[in-house]
Amino acid sequence: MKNDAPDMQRQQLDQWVRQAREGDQEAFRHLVEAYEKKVLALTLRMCKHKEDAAEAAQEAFLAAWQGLPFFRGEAAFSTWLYRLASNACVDLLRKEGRHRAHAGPSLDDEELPLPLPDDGPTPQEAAERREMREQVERGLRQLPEEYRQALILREIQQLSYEEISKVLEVDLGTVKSRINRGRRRLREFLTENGNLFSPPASKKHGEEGCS
Amino acid sequence: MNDPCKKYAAPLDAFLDGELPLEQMEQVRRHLDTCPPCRDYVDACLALRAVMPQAEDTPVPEDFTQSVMAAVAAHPRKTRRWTPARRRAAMAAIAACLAAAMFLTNYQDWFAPFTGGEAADAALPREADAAGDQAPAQEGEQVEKTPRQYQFYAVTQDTADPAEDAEAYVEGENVVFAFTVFLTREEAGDALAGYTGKPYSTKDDPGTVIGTGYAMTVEEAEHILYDVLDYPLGPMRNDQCTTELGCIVVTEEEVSSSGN
Repeated sequence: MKNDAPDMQRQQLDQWVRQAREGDQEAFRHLVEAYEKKVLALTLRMCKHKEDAAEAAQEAFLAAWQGLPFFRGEAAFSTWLYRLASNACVDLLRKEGRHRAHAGPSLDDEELPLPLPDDGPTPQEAAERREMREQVERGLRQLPEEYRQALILREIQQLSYEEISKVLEVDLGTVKSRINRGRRRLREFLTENGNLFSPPASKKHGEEGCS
Repeated sequence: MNDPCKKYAAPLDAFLDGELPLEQMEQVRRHLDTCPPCRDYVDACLALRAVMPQAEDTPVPEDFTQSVMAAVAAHPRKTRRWTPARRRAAMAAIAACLAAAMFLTNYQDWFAPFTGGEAADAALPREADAAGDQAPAQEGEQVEKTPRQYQFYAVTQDTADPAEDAEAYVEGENVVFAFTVFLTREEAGDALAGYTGKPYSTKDDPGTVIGTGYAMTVEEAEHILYDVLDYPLGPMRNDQCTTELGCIVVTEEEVSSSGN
């Protein structure tokens, strides 16, 4: 991964994958604990309902457990896991219209259930940060799915372009394009809907841009 | 807001994501010193990054790990063991099938790359020969039928997809698939009907055919796995693949994914 876990941790994870492949459930449990937040970070932002997000994440882990013995060859477990999670979200979205009835509100509509850590030297700043994070979550929500997913994998899971192209099964050019468009749209949204961006200095000076 | 200038719009994201070679990073950095619109874009993206949610802050439902492990316990895997005895039985069965097939082919040519010696050297590609392979016949010239061993040439930039051209798959030798799935004949049933299978062996033991390999795209494999195993999600991908195609290998007996 882009921000590599220290070597020891990497080795430990690889060992757990090997053991899990051989049937060691305890080793697999360690993998679940190691990756659950990362997987949920994706599914929570790609699914419509909180319950779906948890279910998609669980599906992904179960599929990983079931699938490990079938496949030969070296492949990054985490990249594979994100692909399974991404597919699981799509699967649930497909079923959405037909059998599923949710009592709970959609993640689109309600107050965001995602935790917004309060941090900042003063309560004032903490509140401002919280506000900003809410805006970012809303901004991500309103992005087209493809851009949102690419941007999340880049900024939250911190995958490289290469890894993202494998998770999404698209070529590098498409990855770059989606990230770029995601950033621009997010920036637009936050400029119109928040304090994160004040008008750029260049605008005030009537900058023409370089040729 | 102003868009980044045309010349540098493309590498700005790669710059932000550390995906540029050092020299180009420097180039972009220098450019940012002199170009306010590009600078604005980069600053904006960095500001976005600073407030992006962190994975560590993701709320995990209280019993999440428990429920995953419960699902794991509730869906036992089939044990897949490749014992020496089973292997011998499987090899005998495959050998019998191959023996029949061999009446129709010159098996000596076919195995030449694996048995070493002069025949094996002839199997190694020379660019001209490989090209000649695909060139149409010149006016009236008698075109020699391509000996089988040329189908085993190593992958180069100029060759077509190795999975498509090969007459057999030696995983790790003439092809490294994007994914490899092993199914027993029983599991596969008739799911592979309509696909062309080729003898499949591995680099460790190229002379031993362990099953029949069917090359296909990820999407096709997903459909098949779903039909055959009720397994809804895609196969794990091999980073070192030399083809975008994957392979479903049908074997007589179960094959352990960890080799041997």
